[in-house]
Amino acid sequence: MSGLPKFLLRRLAYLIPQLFGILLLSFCLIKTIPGNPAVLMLGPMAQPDSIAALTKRLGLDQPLPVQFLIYLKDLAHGDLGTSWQTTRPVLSDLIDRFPATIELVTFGLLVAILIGVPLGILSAMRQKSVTARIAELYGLVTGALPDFWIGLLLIFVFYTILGWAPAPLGRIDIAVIAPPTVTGFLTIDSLLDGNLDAFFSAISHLVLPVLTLGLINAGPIMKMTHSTMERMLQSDFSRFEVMSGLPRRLVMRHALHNALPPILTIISVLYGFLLGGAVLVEIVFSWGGAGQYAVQGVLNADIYPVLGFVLFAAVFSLFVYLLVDIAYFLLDPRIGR
Amino acid sequence: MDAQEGPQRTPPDRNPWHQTLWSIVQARPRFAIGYIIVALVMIGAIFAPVLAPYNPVSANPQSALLSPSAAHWFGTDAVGMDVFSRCLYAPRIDLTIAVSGTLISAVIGSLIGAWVGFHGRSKGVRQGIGFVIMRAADVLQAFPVFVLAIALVASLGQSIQTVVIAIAFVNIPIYLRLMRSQVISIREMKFVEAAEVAGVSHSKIILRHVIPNAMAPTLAQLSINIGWSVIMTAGLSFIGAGVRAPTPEWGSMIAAGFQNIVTGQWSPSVFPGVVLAITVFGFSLVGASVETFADPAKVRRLVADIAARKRRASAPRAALGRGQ
Repeated sequence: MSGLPKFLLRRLAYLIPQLFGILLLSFCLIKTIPGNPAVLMLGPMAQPDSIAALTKRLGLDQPLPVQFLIYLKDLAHGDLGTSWQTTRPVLSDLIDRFPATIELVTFGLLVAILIGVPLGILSAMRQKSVTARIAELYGLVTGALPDFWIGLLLIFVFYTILGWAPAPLGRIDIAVIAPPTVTGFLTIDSLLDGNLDAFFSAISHLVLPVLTLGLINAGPIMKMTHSTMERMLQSDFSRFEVMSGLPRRLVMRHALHNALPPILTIISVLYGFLLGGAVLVEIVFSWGGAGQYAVQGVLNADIYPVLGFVLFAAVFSLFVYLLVDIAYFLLDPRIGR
Repeated sequence: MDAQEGPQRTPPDRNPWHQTLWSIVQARPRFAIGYIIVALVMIGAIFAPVLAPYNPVSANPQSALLSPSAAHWFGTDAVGMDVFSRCLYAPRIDLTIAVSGTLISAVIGSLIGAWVGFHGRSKGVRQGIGFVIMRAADVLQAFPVFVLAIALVASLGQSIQTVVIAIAFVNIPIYLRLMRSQVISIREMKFVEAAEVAGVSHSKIILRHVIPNAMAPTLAQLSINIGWSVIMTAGLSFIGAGVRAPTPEWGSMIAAGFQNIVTGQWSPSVFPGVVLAITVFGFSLVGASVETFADPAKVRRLVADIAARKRRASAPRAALGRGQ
């Protein structure tokens, strides 16, 4: 593994300009908001001299590059602005809510992988079988369905009609005492606390939104698994293995190992995408996560929560891509040496 | 559209052009389904004033939350507006936003992508600009698509134009990459060199000779992307950041029916979702057909399928002939 530190260093050199670009774009987004932010922050009743004072304090009278430097300095101090709705710093609001989103997205993606990868492998193994046809149709249909609508359907069937699922109002029953926050993941926190009531309540609230995300996002994972597995099984090394009389299980395993990088890529792209895509599902289930917080900001002209979330999400995606690059490096010995 | 639909209704005649189309429809029935769906939605939207049984925005509190019936095919919503009429009108907004947003991003993205791909090998400033553009595309794609669209709508102000701009903006990197990767290989071809030797200007070469030969993947992407954009428009409207009620729009209709679904009145939310899903499905099938026709390998497989079909159809007769 002597190549790994060098590889990481090269990736980091790539990451920093990208991070800079993300910050620049989010700064531009702030600047496109019409009106003086000082006026917006102080409200319509503000006195002209206090507006002038705040304008000066925020550095809004400075040229744009200087304002960008001020913005960077504030970010370095963890200042993402203040939300006028919660009257709290956006950073602490986001830190409270981000784990809820990550928990939802992570479980949703796990379900998607559990459906998508086996279905893709099965349909690649048996071309033109019933499974392959069902898988193909599944891929086409999930691409056309809006996830928030599927969430509504699930609520209608499993809450309204059958009464199996809890009401779509948050992450845990109001009657159940939530565990003390350690990781922010309710499932893990309640287990750490030994609070089984909270654990089962959290799980039952997770089922429908996680199913919504899982069912929809299994589509692209399935398609990618199918196409790469098909390519691998038709390639020379697989045919050679078959001719040599290797057991089918072994041939499949080697093919899957070689098909993993593209599958990992689509999963990582989905992870970043879901962080934003889950916003709709969060709203349907009143999840109270970071996405819902951002949307509240949009609807109430509260821009800093939105930008804070965008920034968080973009940085999170970059981080996931970095992890995937490291996984590539470990999976494929040809990379970076 | 008529040309694609015609042959399914009339039996195949001797005309080879029609026959080809008919055998394609037989080998790939789902392509035909896609074109039919898209055509029906468009016809429904264009002739909505004639076809819709009710005014899509007139509320009638006396007939609120009715179940589907002969008078109201899809039922009525919480304020008594006819869901079927609203579903018919909705593509006027949804498709306009999706198509214009996608077209804008395709034109801008393809032009930039072609330029970057064309100058990829040339030294100096142009290569530098190309490098910066590609890194900018990386940055843009690091942002989660939907959140970026929300942020754009939030900072530009909420309106239909903003939704179009947001959709165009987030899709540009897709077309940029598609076109660039095509142009990089086309740039090395002899006809481009010939044009250069003949003294044709670079911008003219790109527009006249390179882009037309690199367009196929972009065209296939276009139809699929319109489907995505419809979902995104509906999503933005669903959270209240896109088109606002009472304008008939699928996403805001689903949102309006959300409160009722918990109490059991499913029709105001479910029907707009079904119509939306079928529309997007149709566009992705059309996209799949364009992808097939644009890819020589896939066309070869299609031709092989048609040939196999014909052989199977004539096989019993041939076997009979041999037997006699």
